[in-house]
Amino acid sequence: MRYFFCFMLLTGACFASNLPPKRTKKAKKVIDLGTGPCHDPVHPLITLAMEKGVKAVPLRKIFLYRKLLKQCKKTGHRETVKQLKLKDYQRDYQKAQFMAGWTSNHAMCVTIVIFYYYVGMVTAEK
Amino acid sequence: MEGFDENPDVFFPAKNVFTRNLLLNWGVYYEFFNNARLGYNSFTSYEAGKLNLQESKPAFQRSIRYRMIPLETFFRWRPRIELNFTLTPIWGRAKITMDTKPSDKFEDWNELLNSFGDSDPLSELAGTDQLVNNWIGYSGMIGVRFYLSSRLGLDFKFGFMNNQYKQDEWSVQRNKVKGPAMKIDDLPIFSLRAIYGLK
Repeated sequence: MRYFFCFMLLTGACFASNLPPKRTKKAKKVIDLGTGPCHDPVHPLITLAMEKGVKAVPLRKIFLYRKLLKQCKKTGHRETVKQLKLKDYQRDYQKAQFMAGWTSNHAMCVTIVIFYYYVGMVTAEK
Repeated sequence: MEGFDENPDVFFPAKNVFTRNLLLNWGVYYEFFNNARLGYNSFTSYEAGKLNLQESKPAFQRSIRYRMIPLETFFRWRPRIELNFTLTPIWGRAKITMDTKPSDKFEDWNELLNSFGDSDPLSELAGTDQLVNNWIGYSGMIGVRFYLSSRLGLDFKFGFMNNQYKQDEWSVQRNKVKGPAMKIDDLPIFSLRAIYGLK
């Protein structure tokens, strides 16, 4: 037994390399930020922006609103923030997509007046 | 500014793009309908410099302000792009002031007015004198607005201004005098501005 251990020790000493041991990847530290303002209960400012649009957020609270959005992104609600912005564009788009009532007549009048002005300018110069 | 600079007797020194072609523009709009806004808009042209008159070299300031109450209709072509149409009356107001020495006041003002073609010499002046003219007009503009965010946008407009300016309707100390022959009756106009929306 003693010879066997001596043999193993010698063999190990002869074939040992001085390479550093392989480093294994460190597991990413997961920072637990807890629940964010987009989690239940949702922050009232975020709810207001969801229901009535970003423009409805009072100007004096706009910095707080931006801070909340950042926190939402950090706590896994990146998609919610994206949807919040997209929804706002869609809301305005649906509201003003078509000219309603008299507004199309007004637009047509403006177009005609400008068209005649520029036609007049060109023909007057000739 | 055609007409204003063609003055053979008095040379206006501050002629450049900023004092002749660029106007400072600001406005406030209220969206009273899904597709319409009403507001107040002001375009200002400003010039300041020194005149080289016979008696003295007085400081000279000239401002032309086009005040508008625009009615704007619009629609969203794309979620981020809006086309708008504006028709507005104009209240135009021009002011010319000169800071002269009290002893040279009458000579300086008369020389300036004579250069515009006014032949009647002034007999009444006060401590602070200014030439003022008011007129009315109208304007039409078509524009494109691109929304950078739901609150912030860039707005480009083009159109024209029609001003009923009359050279003979200037007044100084309630006396009618003849002013500069500015050719501002038919002007093409281009405007670029940043928009911020509140609710």
